[in-house]
Amino acid sequence: MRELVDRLVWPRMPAERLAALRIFVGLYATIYLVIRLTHLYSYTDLPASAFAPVGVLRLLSAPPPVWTSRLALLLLYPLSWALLFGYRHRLLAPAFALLLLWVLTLSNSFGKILHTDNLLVIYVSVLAVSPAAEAYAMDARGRSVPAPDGRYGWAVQLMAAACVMVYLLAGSAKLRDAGFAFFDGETLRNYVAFSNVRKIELGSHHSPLAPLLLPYPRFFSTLAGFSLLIELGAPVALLNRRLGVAWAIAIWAFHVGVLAMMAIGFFFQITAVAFLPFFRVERLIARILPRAVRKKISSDGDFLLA
Amino acid sequence: MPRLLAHLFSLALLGAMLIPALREPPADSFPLSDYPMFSQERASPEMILEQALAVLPDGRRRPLPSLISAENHEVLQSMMTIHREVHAGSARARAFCQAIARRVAADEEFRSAVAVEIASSRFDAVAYFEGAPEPLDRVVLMRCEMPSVEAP
Repeated sequence: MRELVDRLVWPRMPAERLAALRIFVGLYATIYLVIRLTHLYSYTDLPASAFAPVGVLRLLSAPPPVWTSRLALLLLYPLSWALLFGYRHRLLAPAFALLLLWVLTLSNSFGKILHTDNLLVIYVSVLAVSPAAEAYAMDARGRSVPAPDGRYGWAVQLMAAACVMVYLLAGSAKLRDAGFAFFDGETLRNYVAFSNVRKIELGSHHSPLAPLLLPYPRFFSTLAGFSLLIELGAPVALLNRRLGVAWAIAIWAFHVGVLAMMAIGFFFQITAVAFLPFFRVERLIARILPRAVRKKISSDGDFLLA
Repeated sequence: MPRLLAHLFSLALLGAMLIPALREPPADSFPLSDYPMFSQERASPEMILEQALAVLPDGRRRPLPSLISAENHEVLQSMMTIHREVHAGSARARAFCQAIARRVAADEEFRSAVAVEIASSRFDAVAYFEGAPEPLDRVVLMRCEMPSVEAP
């Protein structure tokens, strides 16, 4: 029994895998925050009358002072680099996680809750409390990479479990609210149409694919079945690595479909960073870093590939 | 992190993720959510949308982008802003409309507009893509003329 529990929640994994996840999530966060700077900045001085706090901000009756929100946003940028490079991880990664939670919660506290950043915040929180900077990190310079251990696998598995939980909840919500009517495809078809009309009528871009598919209700029925299957079936992804990989590819394809038909971009998912805990992602790091960089960093003291 | 603490953290995190779905009624929040996107049954293709429109000289209406209507990149957030401001009393709705008109006047693409309207439009979303993009009906909630431009 203990063996089974260990395999699920404390599996031996290389330190490089968790470190590689830190790099990819850190890189995503760094780029994402730069791209979203003006968007996030716009929430720092919205009127108090528009404030509809959620999450940790529910403790406040008015928006936080403008200067604190701007300072928090400003600090996010160097801290995202610290996560990416594994610099003073024990101290700076939790600080980044808390500030990211604060800033993204603020951007969801003015009437509309988006669901695109939830997993990012959760992954960063897990990385922040895990030994994610014991390889491929500035903190690890001059040290040899530790042997595979359950404490690395724990964090990787927890991120995978959190990812699975999100989709299980989304699938359960569909069954709870729409029941088996969701399977007939009419609901999904209408949502696709709503989403595109809304985009056009609010002056934005819409999917060029949706108008071509809307005349085929049976297509949406199949799609509804597929989406419920992979959402409710998400827990199988935790049973073994191959199932995890297969599920991750299926759910990634689902998000590509959502982007193509509804012009809704879940970028953490579309870039596949959200699904990396299901892969041997350290192999990807070894492949994508230029050989010269690997050689130099490695000779500088086992920073990367020892 | 010691093993016991790690397991407690896992339990706390996954347990917290479950809570929004277990509440009655389920509660959406951030970053913990019950993920209600697209979960309600939608048997009818009809939808009602509150939107900001530029009224062109020939009487046609053009939807305004979210940056002009609500100074926000996020389309869904702009929708919430329009809804909130237009239902916050006539003085605030007028001020909101006039602020949009000022942004329209400063925008190269829309500056020929003669007025701004904030309207509640009812569409058949499926018919919209089958050659019937006009709203089934539209109620103008607020209209404001463009600000007068001073001669140079």
